[in-house]
Amino acid sequence: MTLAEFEGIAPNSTDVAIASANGSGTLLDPKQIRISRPGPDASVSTLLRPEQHPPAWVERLVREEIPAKDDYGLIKLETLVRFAQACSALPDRTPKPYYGVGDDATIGAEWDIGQFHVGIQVGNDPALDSIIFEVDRGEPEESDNVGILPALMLSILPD
Amino acid sequence: MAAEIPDEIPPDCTVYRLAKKEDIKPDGTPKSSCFSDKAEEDGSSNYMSVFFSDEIQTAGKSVLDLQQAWGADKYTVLAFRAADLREQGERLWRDAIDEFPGHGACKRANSANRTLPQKRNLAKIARVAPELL
Repeated sequence: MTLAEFEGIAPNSTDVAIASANGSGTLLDPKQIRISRPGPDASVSTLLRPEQHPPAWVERLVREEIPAKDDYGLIKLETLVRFAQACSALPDRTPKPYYGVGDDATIGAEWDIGQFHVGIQVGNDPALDSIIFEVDRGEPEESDNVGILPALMLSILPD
Repeated sequence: MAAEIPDEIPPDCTVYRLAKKEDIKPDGTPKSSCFSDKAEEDGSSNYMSVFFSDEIQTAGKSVLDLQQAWGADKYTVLAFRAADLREQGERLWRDAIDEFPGHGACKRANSANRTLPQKRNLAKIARVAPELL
């Protein structure tokens, strides 16, 4: 299995719309997550496609837990939104990842699933966005197409 | 800096990296996000902060002192061999700070930002300092 096998089945980024909205950070409905923080840009909602049912941990991770780990307030709102987009199409049985905020203003999330390791990185600088896939602690394979995460996860998660 | 400390970091020197305890996974491997360079706009210290064992020992300090200086309740200390970091393509140099002896820098040898696979490879060779176990 290689990352290249998933490049053709990743959703196009335009499939996920981003809309600005006012509000204090509430769950609008099961298909919509609103991320907000104080400041002039108030809030951003990530509108999910109708068939998307993100894992239950996604909303809290994006709205509370990652911002709480951002000790220096490095992560921009749009970075959080892109991270939410990457996770929102994951199979709903996807376990909660190990996550962190790097000193280089990136959000990292990683999963150890059996013999597989999957990691993603989403940065204030989109050029830093990356996904890695590793088997049996071998050399990690990398792609800059974070959109392949759901298809990759689907292929390695146990039934 | 004491006269007996060489500018060049010896290959067998232990290189320490502070990490939050919550960023160590149950199998003992740190998260890849532990190994980022600082994103400082002026670029003055756009590197990953580390500490070198030779200077720490010469100053009469220990790994436990390093951990306690940042808070033993929150932080642990990861250890590498300098030679292993260089083998991964990292460059090391001394850059003293007032807070604790032995401070230095770790940066890709080509000065580029560390990529996610490079961070992951550092995570795989990092170990919690034996003195803390």
